[in-house]
Amino acid sequence: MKTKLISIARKTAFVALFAATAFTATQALARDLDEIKKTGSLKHLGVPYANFVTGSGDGLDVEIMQLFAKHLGVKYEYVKTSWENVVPDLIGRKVKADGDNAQLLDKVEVKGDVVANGFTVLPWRQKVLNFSSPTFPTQIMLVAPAASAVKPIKPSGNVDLDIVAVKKLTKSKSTLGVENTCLDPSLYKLKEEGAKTISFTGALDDMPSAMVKGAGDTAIMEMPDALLALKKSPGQIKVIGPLSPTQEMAAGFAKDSVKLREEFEKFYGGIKKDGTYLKLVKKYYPSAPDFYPAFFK
Amino acid sequence: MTTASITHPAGTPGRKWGIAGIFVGVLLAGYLLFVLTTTYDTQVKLQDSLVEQQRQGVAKHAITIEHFLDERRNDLRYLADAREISVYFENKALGMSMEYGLGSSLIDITTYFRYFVADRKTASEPIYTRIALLDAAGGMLADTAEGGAAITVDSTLADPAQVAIRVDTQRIGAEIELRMPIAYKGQASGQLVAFLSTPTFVEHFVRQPADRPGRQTFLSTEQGIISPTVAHMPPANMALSKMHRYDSYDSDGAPLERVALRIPIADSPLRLIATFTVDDVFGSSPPWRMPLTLALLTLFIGAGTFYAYRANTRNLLLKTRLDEARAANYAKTRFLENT
Repeated sequence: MKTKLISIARKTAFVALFAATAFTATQALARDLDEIKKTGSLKHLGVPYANFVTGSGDGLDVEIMQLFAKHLGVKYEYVKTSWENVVPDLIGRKVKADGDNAQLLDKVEVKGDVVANGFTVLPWRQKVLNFSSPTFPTQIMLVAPAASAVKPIKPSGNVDLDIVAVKKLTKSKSTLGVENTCLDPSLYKLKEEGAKTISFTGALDDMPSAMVKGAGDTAIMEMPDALLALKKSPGQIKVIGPLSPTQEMAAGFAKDSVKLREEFEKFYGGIKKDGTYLKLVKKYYPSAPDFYPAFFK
Repeated sequence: MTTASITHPAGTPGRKWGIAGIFVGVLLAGYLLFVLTTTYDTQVKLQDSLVEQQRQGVAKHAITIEHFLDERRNDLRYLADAREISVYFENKALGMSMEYGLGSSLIDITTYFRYFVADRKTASEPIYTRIALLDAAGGMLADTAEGGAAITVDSTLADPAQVAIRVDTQRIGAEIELRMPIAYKGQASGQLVAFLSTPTFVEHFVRQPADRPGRQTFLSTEQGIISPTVAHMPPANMALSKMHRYDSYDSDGAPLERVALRIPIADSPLRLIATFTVDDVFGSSPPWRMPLTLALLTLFIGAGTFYAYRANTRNLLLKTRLDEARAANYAKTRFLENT
């Protein structure tokens, strides 16, 4: 009797464990095109950021994803996330960025099918997910309050030399950044330059005003966001110079979502060809096509 | 005694009638002169009134054009206050470079200017052909015309409140330029330049509906006419505000005299020229014609009346003599009968 009970208990535990594993395994797998079409909705992971995802239900990347959902014939669903969780919410694993590499940590629930919110292509991100073709150009800049003693550099004509000049200016200065994003000070080795890096945990759009109020001597911003901040609050901040060469933004897909990514490429090629994409860019970033003519030609 | 030699001794009624006649004659002549003079004055005043009416019509038209130009000046003042322009100068003052941020401000300015050009229309036609922003040294900062002709800074302009209007007759289609200095924190920082579309301006604000044939209007400066021209133009340098006759030709090439009037457009180098047919301005007949006709008619009537009076007087005289002769003859006959 006892042996029988133990045997039943073992079998039950095994089944439970198997079920849990299967469940977890299923949760760890992102959805691909077939499943999305079956469920009838595309889940767009977004973090409110500049005019890519405004937070008011629109934005360049929001409209692109809405059109993509329409292209697939499914419903569009926005899933709000944060910079800290955007990659885990896509791939179902926590990630620790380590320079150009990434460490996969605990499994988490997959909450979305695609990331698009001014999502910069970074080497460590490329290790854990797949990017689409570039959707927007960018560059990492160092900004400072208008009244700061830190002065904008005089461009040398060589971006690498300009980057070196800018990094030197961060010595002994507190610099705001956002970990695990393209604004992570560690990506630009600012600590090695003598900067005091501060991790900003608020909304990215609030970082410039936080810097002006004294949260930091300088801050790391992407160029599109910096230009918007200059327009919104002229005379409050100034762009010192570049911390990176020109980079690119793109939509992010889980490694498993191969067909979804391929379909996005077809869709994206189509809206670029028929002018829809450029129209959307001019709507949200009117000066971008002229400021980055090579990218948008 | 014949009817041809009727004389009256002094103091007789006949001589009295002569004096009275002369007096009445003088009165009548004086009255006639008065009527002729008054008629002539009236005709002259009527003609002057017609001329003044035409002059006022053209002056009113010139005021309409002045209002249009005032609105354009306000456009430039509005543009100068654009946030995009202040952002640029703010960022420039902070030392930002064109490569890293400042250039984007200029793109925003150009985008805004392009929107402004597309927005400012009259009857669906653009009012402006081009808007540009120069820096204090004359460098081009923003320009709606890609590859447009070079624009130089005008160092004579200093007052930021003043919008100057300049004309370059060589710049066909965009002869009229508005220019305004830009100041940032009290320092001269650049100039805003806008070019009006001459075809739009002329078509909608200079040309008048052809309610009467033979009337034309043109725009000019001291250098010449800038509207689209036709053959046999009036001279561009006529005296201002005065009717000026000039020789032209009709459609068959026959000589035709016309009248032109040149009115200044305030606060600008522009002049409005209106041309008319002679009849439209001075009437179909000169002022002396009516009094002359009246005078000739009066003389004719007067002469006729005098002739009729003379003839009547002679007849009366003849009848009187005849009656006297008959009476004398009768008396003689009676006397002879009685003796």
